[in-house]
Amino acid sequence: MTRNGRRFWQIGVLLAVLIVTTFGTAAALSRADFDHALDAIPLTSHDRILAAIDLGLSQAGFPANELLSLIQRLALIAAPAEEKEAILLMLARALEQGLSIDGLLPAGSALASAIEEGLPIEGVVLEALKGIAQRSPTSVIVAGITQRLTLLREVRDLLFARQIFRASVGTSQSSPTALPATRFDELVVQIADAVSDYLEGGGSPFDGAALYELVAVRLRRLPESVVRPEDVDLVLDRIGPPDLTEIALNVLS
Amino acid sequence: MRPDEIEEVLRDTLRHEVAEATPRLADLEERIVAELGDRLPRLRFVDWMRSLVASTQSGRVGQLAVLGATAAVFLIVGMVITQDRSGGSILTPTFAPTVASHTSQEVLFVVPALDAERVAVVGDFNAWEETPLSDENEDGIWTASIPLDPGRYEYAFVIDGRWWGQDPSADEYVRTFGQYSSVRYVGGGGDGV
Repeated sequence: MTRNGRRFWQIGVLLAVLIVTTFGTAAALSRADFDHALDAIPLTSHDRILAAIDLGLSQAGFPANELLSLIQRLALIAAPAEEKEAILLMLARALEQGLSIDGLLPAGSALASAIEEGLPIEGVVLEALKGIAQRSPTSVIVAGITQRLTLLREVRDLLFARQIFRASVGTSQSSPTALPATRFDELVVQIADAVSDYLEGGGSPFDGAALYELVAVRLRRLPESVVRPEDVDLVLDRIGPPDLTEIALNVLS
Repeated sequence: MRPDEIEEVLRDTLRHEVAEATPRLADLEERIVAELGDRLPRLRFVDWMRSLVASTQSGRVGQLAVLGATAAVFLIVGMVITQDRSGGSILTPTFAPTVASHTSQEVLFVVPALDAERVAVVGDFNAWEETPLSDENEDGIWTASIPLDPGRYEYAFVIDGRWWGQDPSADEYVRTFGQYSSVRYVGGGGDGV
């Protein structure tokens, strides 16, 4: 073998090692690994999610390791299983439509963090599912998820600042401003949703009065079984147009 | 062109489109009535017809241009129904939405899609997965009745794969990801069902 021949041989071996170390781990993950990981979460749509992952495994560059990490992380979060399932279903729906979940995975992680914080994410996931149904670009969907999560945090913090609190799950209402968790969460979701719709509809964040009016109308139109009139009165008494303008600006910045 | 001239042109256009659409309207009311005969939420359909009539009469150029022949068809049907209601039509409202009920209500989704092959509704209530509408007598009026708990629901129709988010019978509209969706309040302050 000539000197040049030996060099080519060495380069070839080096490349082979690089390729194996780069792609070998992803290739090593199989349907069984995901099946096992999903078993740790009580899912009603285990088979559907697994079938979607199967589709993904056949995609080039499928982020198998990242997805497995997310599933394992979700399994460890102390939160209702349906919230974790919602995130996985969002990813499954994207895979079913042949979309790459590369861009969506960070949003999945952000949603997992939101669950850990106790934020009600169902509405955010529904928005993402709407975006997927509309075949919107992944980047647009991710931006929407990020905006809505920010809004949930901002609205929750505003209510806290106005002395409206979220009582622990299962406890009774000890004061008029310590709302049971489900009622508090519903208010946060509806206010955040209204602000988001306003901004996405092209409304000016500086027009706090219009924003406040939209929130008020939205809350008052909801059935009593969704939000109670006394809760709506409490919130509308304690927040004002400047608060909503500030929230809108924070989201946009 | 002055507003009154625009109005006149629009009237002429509409008259022309109505004349063209008239043969297709034979027995249309009977067909719709037969289709909806067993459905409870009749009020919504009548309201929808009225809203179509109202928006057409207001002379909004953009709306008229977009609605075109379909608007003309529904204008006539709306007028017929309005007249019949005063005379005790079968479409006289018999359904009053309950307020703050904890039980689910049958919500009727109706969309005209004369030449469509496949129509579905997607929304918050089905996690934006398609629920098919049916048009059993093939008259172009697609319907589905879906039980919904009280609440606020966003939805859109998907007609032959195309997003159609501005249902005239909606309580309001939202625009997300660059496309419109309709909203209905069920059991609350909106017209809901």
